[in-house]
Amino acid sequence: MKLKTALLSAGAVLLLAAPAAVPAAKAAGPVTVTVWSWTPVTPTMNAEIAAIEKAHPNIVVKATIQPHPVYSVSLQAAAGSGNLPDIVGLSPGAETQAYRPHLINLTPVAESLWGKNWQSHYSDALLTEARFGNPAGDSNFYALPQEAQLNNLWYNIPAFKKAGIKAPPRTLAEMEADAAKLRKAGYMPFYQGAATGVFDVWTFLMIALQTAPNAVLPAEQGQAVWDQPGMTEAARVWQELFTKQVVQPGALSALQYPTGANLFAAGRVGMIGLGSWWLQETGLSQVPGLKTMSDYGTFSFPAVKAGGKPTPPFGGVDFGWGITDKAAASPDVLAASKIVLKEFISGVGEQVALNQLNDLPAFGGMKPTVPMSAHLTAVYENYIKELPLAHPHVIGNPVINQSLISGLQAIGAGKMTPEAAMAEVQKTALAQQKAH
Amino acid sequence: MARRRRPWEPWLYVLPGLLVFAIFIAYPILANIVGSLVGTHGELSLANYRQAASDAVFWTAVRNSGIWVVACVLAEGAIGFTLALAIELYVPIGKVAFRTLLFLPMVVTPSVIALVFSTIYAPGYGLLFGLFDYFGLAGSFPAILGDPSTATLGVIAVNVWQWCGFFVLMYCVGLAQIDRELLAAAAIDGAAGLARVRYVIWPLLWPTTTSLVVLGTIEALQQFPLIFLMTEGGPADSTQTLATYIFQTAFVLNETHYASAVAVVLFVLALVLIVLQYRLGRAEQAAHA
Repeated sequence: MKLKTALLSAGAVLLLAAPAAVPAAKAAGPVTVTVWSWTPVTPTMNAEIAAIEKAHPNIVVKATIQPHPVYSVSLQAAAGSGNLPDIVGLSPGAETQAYRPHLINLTPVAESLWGKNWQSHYSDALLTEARFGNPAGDSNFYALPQEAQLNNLWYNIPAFKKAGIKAPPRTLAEMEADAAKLRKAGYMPFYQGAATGVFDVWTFLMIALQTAPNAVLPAEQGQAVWDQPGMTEAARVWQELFTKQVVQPGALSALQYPTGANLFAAGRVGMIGLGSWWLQETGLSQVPGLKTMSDYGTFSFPAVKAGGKPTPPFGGVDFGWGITDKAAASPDVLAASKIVLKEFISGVGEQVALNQLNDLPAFGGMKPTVPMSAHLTAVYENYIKELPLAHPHVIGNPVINQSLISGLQAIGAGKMTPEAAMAEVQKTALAQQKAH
Repeated sequence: MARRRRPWEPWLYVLPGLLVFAIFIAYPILANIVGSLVGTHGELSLANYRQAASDAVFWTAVRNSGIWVVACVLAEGAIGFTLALAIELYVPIGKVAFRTLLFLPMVVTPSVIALVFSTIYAPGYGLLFGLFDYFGLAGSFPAILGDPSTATLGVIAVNVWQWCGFFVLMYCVGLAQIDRELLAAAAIDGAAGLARVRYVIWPLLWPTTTSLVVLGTIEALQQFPLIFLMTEGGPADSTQTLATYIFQTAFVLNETHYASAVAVVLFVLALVLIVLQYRLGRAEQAAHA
């Protein structure tokens, strides 16, 4: 009897504690929009939010920024349990595709925010990358880019002077000669944080854009073209970077971030593969040569063949935003989410990020309004000029991407020949084609 | 007055514990097993296990997980036991200070440890390189984490450094519980030096050793942050373990069902190893009794 009473009481308590099954009332106060991402860094995101909330006092933005590995886990767990936030930060390709079932189509949203010709505000490369991996016939946008990036090589001007090098290398042969001079002068020649797979892929693709220009985009889009002669040639050049000691000793154990970037900032490295995002160091450092970037210059990956041309502009979407179906479930939250999306991409939010030189604006026509040195302005303007010409920099299929990373590292370690490594990537690509 | 027997009463008491176990342990394991049986197109099949059987990286991960267990348990056990003996039997003062210093690495976050040791190992500017350079051996400095044949051992060494203090502490506790009169009696009977350790101390510490072997095995099989932060499983997947491979397949490659299959393998492996260790431990204990 006592047990029955206890169970009934417990049941009553549970019923009282359960949420009332009544329709949600229309929001009376400010609407809260939840945002998750791994980028931009928390101080920048907080500044963006402050600007957005100031412009829209009826909106509260609650953002959670986590390091990418943690973010991936959080996102997947939240998607599985139906607890995604309203807006999610996404990189193009595999990540956007993985969450596509939980994202709304942003094409009509973009039309309502920026008009019918909204796509004219983005370069072709960004539009292409934003839809990487969409199923055949699906031309919708599930994430819209806020920021873009160009990948290139940077060099340390004082290090070059000390090593007796007048200008950044224009050919691979010059790069090899410069690496020897830099080593002799006590610098790490070309820092490749080869333990960080994404930078291996970027260096390889920069080379492949010269040796197999017509195969790179199909390869990025999942086609099995990895055994083409130009791809194998790119792998051979990658191998030479190790065998001819262009990269620093122990490159395969080196991380691009934080180690490589820090060593470069500290003046210990001659050349390194980074990109437009590195400009944000100007706001983080008090060292004069870094604050104005006067000690640093950019160049493209040198021509791998004599008489050839350096790598053309290479880059694309840095990160973008998607609106989840959870936000779409509430008209108030959806409306607020659209406003936040617009401010992130083309409004006060993006202006804050640009003024910190966080990266390049994906949305055309925006630019930093903070004073910049002449050298910095020249570097920045060159990036802006090259951005519309950029070749996509993302391999859409993560399995192929991982296979390429493994292959490149095996080549670097001398455990595989370029031919064998590319054959392995080709095998993976064929298997992926079959599976999908 | 005899209390009336209520058969449901014991169940009522264990119900909260059972519920917690069912929700937070049993259900996730079962859900993971079911997930591992879901094929590419949502069908129930053994496809993920067949994929694992023909996946070279999976077998590298299995091999490396085995190396981790054996190397970590042996090295941490041997070093921990030796240091604990030295501290408890031969250090006259400052035992607490020694124990605390040796335990310190346990409270340092793996990300800091990974960063520090990556720098120590770094060719060209690291601390080890500096030593080699000092002795004129810079040219023969090995890229420990950059060479697939040494990278796993390089990370294991860091893990051993971090965990030794825990083993020392546990063995110190075990040693402190040994009756000093027993040691004195053994000495009178002629058991001194290594003989005392082999025939008196070691058997008496067997329960501690068994527990440490189990804990060390679990820790070695679960190790993720050091490997991920120091090598990301590379170069060329040479440092992948089952734990890092689960992360890679689930959260980098988005192959969650395949990751579930790898997780089931890890679960079974851990279960078999621990049951085996317990049985061997009990047999050994019975032999010493």
